[in-house]
Amino acid sequence: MWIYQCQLAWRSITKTPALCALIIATLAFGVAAAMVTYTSHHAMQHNPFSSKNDRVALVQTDAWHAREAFPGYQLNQMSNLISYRDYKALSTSSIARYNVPIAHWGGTLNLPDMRLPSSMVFAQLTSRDYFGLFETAFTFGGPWAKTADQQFQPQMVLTHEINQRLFNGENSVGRQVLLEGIVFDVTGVLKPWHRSAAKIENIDGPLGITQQVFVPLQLVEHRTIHPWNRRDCPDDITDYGSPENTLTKGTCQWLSLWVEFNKAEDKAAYGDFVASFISEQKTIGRYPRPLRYALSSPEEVIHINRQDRSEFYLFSLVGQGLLIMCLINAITLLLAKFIRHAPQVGIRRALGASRWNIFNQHLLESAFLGLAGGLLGLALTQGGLLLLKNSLKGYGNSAHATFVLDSHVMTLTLLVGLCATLLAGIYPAWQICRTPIAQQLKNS
Amino acid sequence: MSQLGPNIRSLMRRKISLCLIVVQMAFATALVSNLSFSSHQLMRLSTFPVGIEIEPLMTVFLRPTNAQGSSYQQVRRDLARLTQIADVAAVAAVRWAPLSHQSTPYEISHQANPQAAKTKLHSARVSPEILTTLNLPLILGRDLTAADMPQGTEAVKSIIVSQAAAKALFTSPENALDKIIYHNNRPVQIVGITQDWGGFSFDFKGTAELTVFEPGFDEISSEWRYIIRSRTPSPTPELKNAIRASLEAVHTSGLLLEFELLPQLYTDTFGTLKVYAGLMVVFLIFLCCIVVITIAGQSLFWVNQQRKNLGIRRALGASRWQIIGLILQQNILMALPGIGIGVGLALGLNRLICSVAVDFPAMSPAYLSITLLALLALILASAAGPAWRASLVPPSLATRSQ
Repeated sequence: MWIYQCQLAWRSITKTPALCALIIATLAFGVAAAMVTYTSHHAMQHNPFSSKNDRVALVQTDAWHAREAFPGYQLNQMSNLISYRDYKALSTSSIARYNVPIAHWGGTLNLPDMRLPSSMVFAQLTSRDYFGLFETAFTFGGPWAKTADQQFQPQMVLTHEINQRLFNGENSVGRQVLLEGIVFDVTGVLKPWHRSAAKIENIDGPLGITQQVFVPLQLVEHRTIHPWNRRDCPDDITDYGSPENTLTKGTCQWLSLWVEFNKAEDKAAYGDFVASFISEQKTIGRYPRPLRYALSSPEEVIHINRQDRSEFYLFSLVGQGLLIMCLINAITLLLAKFIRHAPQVGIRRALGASRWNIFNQHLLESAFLGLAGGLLGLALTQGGLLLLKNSLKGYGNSAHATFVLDSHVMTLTLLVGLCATLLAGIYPAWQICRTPIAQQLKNS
Repeated sequence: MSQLGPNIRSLMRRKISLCLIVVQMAFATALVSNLSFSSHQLMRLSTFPVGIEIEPLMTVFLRPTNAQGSSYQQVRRDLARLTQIADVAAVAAVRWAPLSHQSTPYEISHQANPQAAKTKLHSARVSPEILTTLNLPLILGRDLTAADMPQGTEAVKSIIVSQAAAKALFTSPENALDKIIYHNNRPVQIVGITQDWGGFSFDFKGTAELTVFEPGFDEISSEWRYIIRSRTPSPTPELKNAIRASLEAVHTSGLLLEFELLPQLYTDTFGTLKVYAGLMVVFLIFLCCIVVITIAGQSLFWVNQQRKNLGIRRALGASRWQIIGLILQQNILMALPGIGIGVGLALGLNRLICSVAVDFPAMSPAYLSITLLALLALILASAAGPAWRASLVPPSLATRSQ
């Protein structure tokens, strides 16, 4: 019976090829518009720590001056950054499994013998824990020694790209590189690493920049450097003596601190620790505002920094609106198509076909059209994503790299196409199967 | 007008179709108005006049290898050498490249009081030749001179601001000239006011930047830039080679040197906007096609179903133009409730856009009205074909039996 109904549905489609092509094209375009915009929005707010969202947190404190709230764009009115002195104090806690400070810097990179042309690189100032928290895999070697986070040692981890550039991709562990006049020993080389568009590790760092080397943050106590982060400085009239002291002992906030806990319950204990630290600081005149801090999960960080409300969010709303319009359009066209064949339906009904059979046949017809629309939509989605990627590529917008048609998007596209058409087909199919037989026969 | 009653009654008999059209028209109104407004705004921004001729301009980013800071004497020596190159029309030292989205925040107050209200401007440290090099005219006051450059740890005493900055500080450029204002509680005098321009850190509002040209050179930093105006319409590879050779000859310990052409920076800044605007235009065209297909399909379907009735009308004396009017009126009546709901949706969507893209302007009622008229015109055009077809129904059809 099903095969017979499939045959009937197929014959009905071939009888009106132009109308069917119009339905398929409309649906395909609607599905593609919705999926291209959905994929880009989904990529922009992707949480790279979704598996451990409850165990990873960004430490935010309200260390701003008394006369106004922190004027940043963050929804919770707290900076993403903390001062170096606060980081040093907070990192003494053993509650967190990983303490990961992140700041940005850079300079000219070469080999010590200067035999290559110097190139500009972006460096991440961090701790050894960075590689544990971000679960980065190494091609060669590993992170620097734990002692390098207490007392500066010139050790460095390279990304795959920099290792290719400097050492032709060979094992460079133990070899030396020259960054801003300092000779560093290479301890490890990372595997190629695709970061999320949300760029959690680069929060408040320089725009559109991908880190190329990793250096211990302790460098700031060893040499006067100027991190490339933004600096949020509350009112502070203290004279710290020198620029390096201002950086390490002052109240300017310029590094982000991420922590990872062994279990989610440790977060509360760490929160108590942060609160007691702030209370202690209040006694020496710091933290003049009401005691406030946040251990924001990566998901919250994306929301607080409005990364879930990018321009792609708006595009995704428009895409969904277009899909709804296409659906209504499909309903109208299917209705027109089905009613045109009402006389044939009347004959089938008179010959004994039940309403259920008629309904099924028309729903099957809708499903065929939906499948075709979904497949064409898949091709258009792929083309649209490629076009969007290539269009954004030239303009320093790094988000495009994550716009890919993966199995998740492919399945979703087909499902959306099919479900949309089935949904669109229900009303016309129901309408045609409930028309009285006599009227249909009379019309014929 | 006399057809209005029968038309409404006829529409009420097709409740489901009417609902579908209402929903579709509501979405169409919301999307068409916002897409056309947004793409128009983005295109306007992407063709924002930067106020200077950028084609002959380029910046040279310098970073001597292993340098620990730099000196202004070194910069003066470089500027003197670069001026010797035949194709160099003018050159100046500058902290940030224009249109690069980079500038130093510069907070200004009218009193030397840390608690005083501050106006946020964008600044870049520059050498005195900057306005000549940018070819940015002064509208009031004087240009920077060598005497304005602070020596050693001396504070900056005089600045030049853009017209927009002068207005933001003192409501008019005339009031701002020669005024003393406070930066970091230190007094500085506004000695000149330039014509408005795009600035260092374009803010996507499509307005001129509030720029401060601050004479000075950051000797702690190991990197800086020269901005160069070439005599040729755009910098040639030969000019780049000559500049590279000239600078490498004096920075003998090694030099990282990168050229940035201002037209390229302009494209980088505005290219993404153009992509977004293009995407919106594609959606807009598709949306219009959907509206045309729906209205035309719906009308055609109705005309085919009502051929007999139309024949009777013709037989009873209705002219072809009256039949056309009837169909067009029906379509307008079907679309109007949807468009009415769509106006509310359009305003809601526009508010959402403004909340996400903070600098984005709200849609004006005039713009919304124009979009609605355009949409109505599109609906009428879509229904014109089926209406014409309906007018061709012969009166003799009324006499035929079913």
